[in-house]
Amino acid sequence: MELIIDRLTKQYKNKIAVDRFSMKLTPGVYGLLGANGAGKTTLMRMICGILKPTGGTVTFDGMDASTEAYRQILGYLPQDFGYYPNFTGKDFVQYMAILKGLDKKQAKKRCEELLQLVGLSHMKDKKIKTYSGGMKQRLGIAQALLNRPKLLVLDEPTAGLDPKERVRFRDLIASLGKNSIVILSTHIVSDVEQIADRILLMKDGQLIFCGKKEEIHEGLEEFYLEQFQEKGGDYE
Amino acid sequence: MIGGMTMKKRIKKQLKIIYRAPEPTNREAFLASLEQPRTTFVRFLILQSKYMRKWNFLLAAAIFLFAVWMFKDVNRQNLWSISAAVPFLAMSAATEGGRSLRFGMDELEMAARFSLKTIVTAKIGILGISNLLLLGAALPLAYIKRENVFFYTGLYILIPYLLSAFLNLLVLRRGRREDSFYLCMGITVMLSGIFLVFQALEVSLGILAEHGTWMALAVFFAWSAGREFWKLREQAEEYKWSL
Amino acid sequence: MSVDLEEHYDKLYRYCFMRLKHPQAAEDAVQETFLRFLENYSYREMGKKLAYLYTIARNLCIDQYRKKPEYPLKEETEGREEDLLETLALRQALLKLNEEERELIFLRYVNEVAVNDIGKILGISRFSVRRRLLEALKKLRSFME
Repeated sequence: MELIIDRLTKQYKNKIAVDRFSMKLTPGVYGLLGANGAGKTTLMRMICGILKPTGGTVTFDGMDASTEAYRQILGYLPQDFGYYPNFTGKDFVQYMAILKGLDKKQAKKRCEELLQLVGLSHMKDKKIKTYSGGMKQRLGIAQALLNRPKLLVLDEPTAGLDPKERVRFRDLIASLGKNSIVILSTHIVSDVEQIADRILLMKDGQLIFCGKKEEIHEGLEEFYLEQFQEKGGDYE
Repeated sequence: MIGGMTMKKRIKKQLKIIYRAPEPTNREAFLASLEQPRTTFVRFLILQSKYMRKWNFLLAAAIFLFAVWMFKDVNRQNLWSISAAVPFLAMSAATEGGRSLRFGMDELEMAARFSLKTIVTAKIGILGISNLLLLGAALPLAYIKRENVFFYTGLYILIPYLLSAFLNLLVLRRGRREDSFYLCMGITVMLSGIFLVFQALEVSLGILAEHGTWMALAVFFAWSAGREFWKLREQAEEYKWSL
Repeated sequence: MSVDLEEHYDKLYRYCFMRLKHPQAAEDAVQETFLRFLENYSYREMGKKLAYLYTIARNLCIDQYRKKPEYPLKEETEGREEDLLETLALRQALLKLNEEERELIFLRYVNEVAVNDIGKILGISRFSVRRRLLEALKKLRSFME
């Protein structure tokens, strides 16, 4: 199980958002850290095959990111997502299940399972309008897991979660990282510290560091700050 | 005997301990590889239909009935009323495709197996075609009157529909997500208004019957609408983010 | 579907491990069993066709045992000390049974397979299954006293 990102580039008219990003990923949890505007979300969108790169490729076990087969093993939680009005939590997950290709029976069972996993069973028949930010985020995580993805891409997944939810989330991610490739981007250093096997640091669209957290002799926080010293107050 | 029962239970409990196996290492991945998606494309279309807004179908039915009633009592000027209602049908079909964008579901849908492109195509396609069919079904009834059926249907129903479709799709393709819907609504209302004005002024566009001009017009609008639809599909394939 | 599938996987894995005593071999066997089953039936029918599922696994285990020397027989796996002590008597008693009796005991009391299905798997009548189970249990009890 290998995700190969080869010189991935995204260039807009006057800016290079992602600059020749290359990496080979194997099962485990990868924490992607970077300031806002470093290119994290752009990179993730390209990995998910929803944004066409201007150069380079992304392949998972030989399948290109633009293929349907690739999407079948992919689970994605975008940074921001909405929902059709009047959808309940259950409606939402079921709709996504159908989109991912599960049939009705599979969908129903899987939905219940996942809603329970993220602790939303009691809210499933309530409209998403009534959900708190943390609940909506958990719903997003649930839909990402529907098709038992081998590649899980999470963009700022812990934003909006309270500390208790965050711990629960970390445990979930750690267990998922055993058998699949999990990439999660965040600006919360402590999250990455706790769960990532490997840390990826991104600055100005480039990968400036990739390694295990043990390789960073100082604390991750200091290291992170150091890297972004130039940008001053741009990090969080 | 009581001793026997307890012993059996004890044995069972111990057996479970003795025969405990270590954790399997590859279960999740293996099972995932087995769960092949089983929904066919047709099933998908049917399911999408269920998620579409109901009022579209209601509106189509209403217009159909309205058309039937109008045709019974063919007064050319009254027909403009039908023309005034039809644009909303086209708008509904076009904006249905834009719903994903409007409600922020597009990114999620893009990454799913049935991509956003497919969803948009399916939605607009289903509605667009079903509307056309429904409108076309009014034809046989008009035929009973033995008037110049095709001309009537074409002028009063088809052209407004296609023109509205073209304009709405154009707006969707070019607009930003928040105000696109309201723009579509605005244009459609305007179009509808124009036809009502025709009715009030008792405008007769009989000249269009000559040399099949109206047919050329219909074809032109159909082609334009088709083109916009195609481009919209392409656009749904990739998200255009501005920096 | 997923809950059932996982349960079937785990139980069959336990079965294969009981026979092959090697975790990797057991897992290969389970996966092979699943694949072969799915060639002819859908995953939904696993419950109904349980006997067939086990039969495939059983045959695979027999073949593997015969053919693949690279899966060496391991010693009994380590367990918690308390467990080992508690179950010592039973484990010794089990060794005194023959292989078929052990398999019967395992299928019925560990994997909780229905008597009907056990009959189909081992090729004997339900009546025989019940009878032999009772005999095996009696033997175990006597060995443990």
